Amino acid sequence: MFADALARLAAGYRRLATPAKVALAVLLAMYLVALLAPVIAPYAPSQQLDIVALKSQAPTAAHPFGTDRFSRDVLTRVLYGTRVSLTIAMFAVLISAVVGTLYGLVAATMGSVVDALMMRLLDAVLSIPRVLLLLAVLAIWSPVPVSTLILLLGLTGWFETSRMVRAEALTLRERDFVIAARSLGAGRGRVMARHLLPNVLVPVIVAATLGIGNVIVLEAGLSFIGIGAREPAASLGTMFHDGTEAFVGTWWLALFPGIALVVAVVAVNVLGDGLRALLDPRQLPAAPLGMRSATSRATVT
Amino acid sequence: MRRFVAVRIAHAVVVVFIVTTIAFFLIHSVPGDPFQTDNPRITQEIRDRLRAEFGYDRPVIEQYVRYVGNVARGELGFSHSLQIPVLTALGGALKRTLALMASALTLSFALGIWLGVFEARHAGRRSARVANRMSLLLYSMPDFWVALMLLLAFAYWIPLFPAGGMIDVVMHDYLSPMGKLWDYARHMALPLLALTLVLTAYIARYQRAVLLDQMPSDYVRTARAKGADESRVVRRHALRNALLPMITLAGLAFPMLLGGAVFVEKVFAWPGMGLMITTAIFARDYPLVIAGVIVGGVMVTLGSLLADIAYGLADPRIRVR
Amino acid sequence: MAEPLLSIENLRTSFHTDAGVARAVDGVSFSIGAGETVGLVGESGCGKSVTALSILRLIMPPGRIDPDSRMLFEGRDLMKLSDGEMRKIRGNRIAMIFQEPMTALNPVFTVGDQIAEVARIHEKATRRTAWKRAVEMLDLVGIPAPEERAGEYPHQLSGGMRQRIVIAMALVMRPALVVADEPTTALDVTIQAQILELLGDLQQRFGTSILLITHDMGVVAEAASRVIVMYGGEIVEESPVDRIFASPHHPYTEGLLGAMPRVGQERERLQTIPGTVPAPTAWPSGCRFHDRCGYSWERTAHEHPPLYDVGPGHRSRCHLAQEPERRQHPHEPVVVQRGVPA
Repeated sequence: MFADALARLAAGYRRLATPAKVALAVLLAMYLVALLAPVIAPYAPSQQLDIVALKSQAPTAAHPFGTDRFSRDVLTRVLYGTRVSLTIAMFAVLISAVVGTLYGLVAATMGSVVDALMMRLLDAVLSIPRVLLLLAVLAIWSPVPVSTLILLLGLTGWFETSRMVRAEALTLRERDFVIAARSLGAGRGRVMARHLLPNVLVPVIVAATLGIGNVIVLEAGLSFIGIGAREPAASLGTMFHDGTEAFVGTWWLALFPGIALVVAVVAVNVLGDGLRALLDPRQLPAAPLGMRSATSRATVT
Repeated sequence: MRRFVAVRIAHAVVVVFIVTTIAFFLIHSVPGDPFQTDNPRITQEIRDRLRAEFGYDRPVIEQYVRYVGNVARGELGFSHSLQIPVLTALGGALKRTLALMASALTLSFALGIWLGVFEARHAGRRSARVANRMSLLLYSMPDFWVALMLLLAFAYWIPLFPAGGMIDVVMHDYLSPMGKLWDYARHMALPLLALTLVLTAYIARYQRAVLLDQMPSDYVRTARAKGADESRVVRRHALRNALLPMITLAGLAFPMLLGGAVFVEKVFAWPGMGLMITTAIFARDYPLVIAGVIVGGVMVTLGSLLADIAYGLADPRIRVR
Repeated sequence: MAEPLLSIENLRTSFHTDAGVARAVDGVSFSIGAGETVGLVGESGCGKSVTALSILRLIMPPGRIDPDSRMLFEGRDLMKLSDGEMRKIRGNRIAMIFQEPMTALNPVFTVGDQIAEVARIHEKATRRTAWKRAVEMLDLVGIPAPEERAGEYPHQLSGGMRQRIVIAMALVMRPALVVADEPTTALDVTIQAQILELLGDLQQRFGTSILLITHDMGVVAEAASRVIVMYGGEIVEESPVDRIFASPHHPYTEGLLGAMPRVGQERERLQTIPGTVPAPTAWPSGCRFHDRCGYSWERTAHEHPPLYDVGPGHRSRCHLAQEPERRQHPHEPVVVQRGVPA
């Protein structure tokens, strides 16, 4: 089933628009470089090279991205930070996709009372801006380890996915092959696993891809405020936090991690758009950070 | 239509109630209270007295029931860190956040719709492709990073605007009314620009997509068959239909802006809700943080409620019923 | 015969798609006289709707009308007009009626508004006079309480009413030619008859020519004086309406007539034409109908037939015109022999 979806995706790759292919290549290259940071990076990420001579140095040949006020090499930190940012985003989105798919499928198959309850609850959680929710939780738990951060980001990001999965599953439920399966005595679980899940997987993958971009930005924002990722697992966002404390005159501290961040997010968005154009051409662009999907209003009437 | 509004309002009330519940339990599910401190002068005895005074020693359920009752009456508690009632603190901050958000919303929708129409109208041409790529780039940028870059560029390198705050704290009181307004506008310019740039990019992309989505419609072909020129076809026929989803989007833009405001306010020290909440977080000021989440939830609910009503008014298929 | 109102010569319209170039209309020539109703008949996919849209130059990319096509209308070649000049013709001298009256109307404007728009565009009429015109037109197409109806939205009206609105919209400027693309297909049978009657009435009153596009030979029998049958992007038969019903020449036309229920004619069941319309990216060689035809022979598979004259005003794109004796020996069509389901 997963293999099937993957095979479809692989087949789709060839039909993917060129910008999306480029984006995928950029993303893979970026992640590869970031993964290899321990090998590639000229220094250790928290190595204080020379706290006197190399404090807050503007970019030079030896330190192309400059150094921060602890005399750490910014290029090195960008490499490690990219690794942290991308990893957090990917795992968080994975959690969102799994939880969202399960919740949506359960709502769609458990009958109208359970469904209505689950959807009202969803309305409520969707009404709290994700940023505020995370701020509230992190405020109390901070400092959190990266794993908790991933969990929190993942658990606050599945609402839209579940709504989409439910809608998809509800229409699928009325389709002949599902009705046929049910009339043959297939139970709820079986219908869910064998017939609904494989069919909602493709839109979930598209949504997840676009979700990665959102989470990268969101995590960067939280880390920028000082309640997200922190040493030793500094993300790109953490670097802004360090950067703003001594901001005037040290532009490189915010510029370079920012560029890395924007390149990654642009690549994810282009890839997501390409995937959607291929798999799901009728859909509109995905909502960015904190926005609900435009289809949510349909629940009222 | 009246029924539709009534049902929608009932929904909104339920949602706000659930939001309150979630916010309360979320924060109380975590160990610790605002009186936990390393300060040796605050003894356990003092702590217990404070806990009793603020009701932290009661069972959670009781605290919750009292809290919901208070929220319903508009009593949001007392801010420990600011030493004023939460309502007073949030009231002023909310006003300043709303001023920023309303300006950003208006500006981004005006610009975004215009840009989206431009991109759709000239789809395939170079200018539209460039505009489309620019908006993708902008929309992929974190708003706080845009804010940082703007701050760097226009407050430090080319010091056109003040670096932060809402007014010039030294000079403001001595300015003429017009001068005060100008001072205010200068301070708002950069945060407004940061929020507007990102939101505009998103709106333009969305407007372009919904507009292009309308173009293969039969009624568009009918309009062309009538002899309407492309500008009339796009701006009158397709756009009027494509503006309907934009109304929904306006409601949805609220949480986005509110989230963005948190970061942008921090960058520019704009004394709004976002800045207040981030400050409250580090002071472990629960009542203020909970109230912030509730007010955020109320605003989002209100936004989508207003958007739904506006949608109903704008779409004859719903309005006439 | 007087100069025809519209004379189309060698119209070619193609669509450049991923699957190749679809030659939807592939060298079509015909003319329509003033006040005449011509039926354009064929299965879906034969190119009749594309022909209709081509006349108004409403083909959107990736579609393209071959610039060598000629469409003489009131003495001017439509192909040579600028976009602006063409717009002055659309809705003014040539109007179009569409198939789906629900989707053809803009859901967010009142019907009065949409009718009035035609006068606003072509006469620069003021809002008020245009609105008055709209109400008049509603009255003309037989809509009761036109003042009230003009202020309503499409979704508030029935299907038949909506089609009347679409007709009213087409007739505001008293066009010389109305292109009606399946105007009755989406409607109930009783409403269909009413709409055809209305079209006939209005034609008599204004002397409008009508190009009536349909897949239904019954509609043609009722409304048209001349019939053009299209298949595979080209005309396969053209004839006065009485002749074609009495003695169709092209086997495809025979098939269409066989698929039509007729009163007073006892048949065990309606015949269908085996196979499906071929894809416009790869028309068959020879006669484009040969593999679905019950008379085909060697020659039809290789030699593309021209339009033969087979009677007064009657032409047919079938080699049977030269070898009529072959009509005596029908056989199962190739597609049936191959086992392709009908």
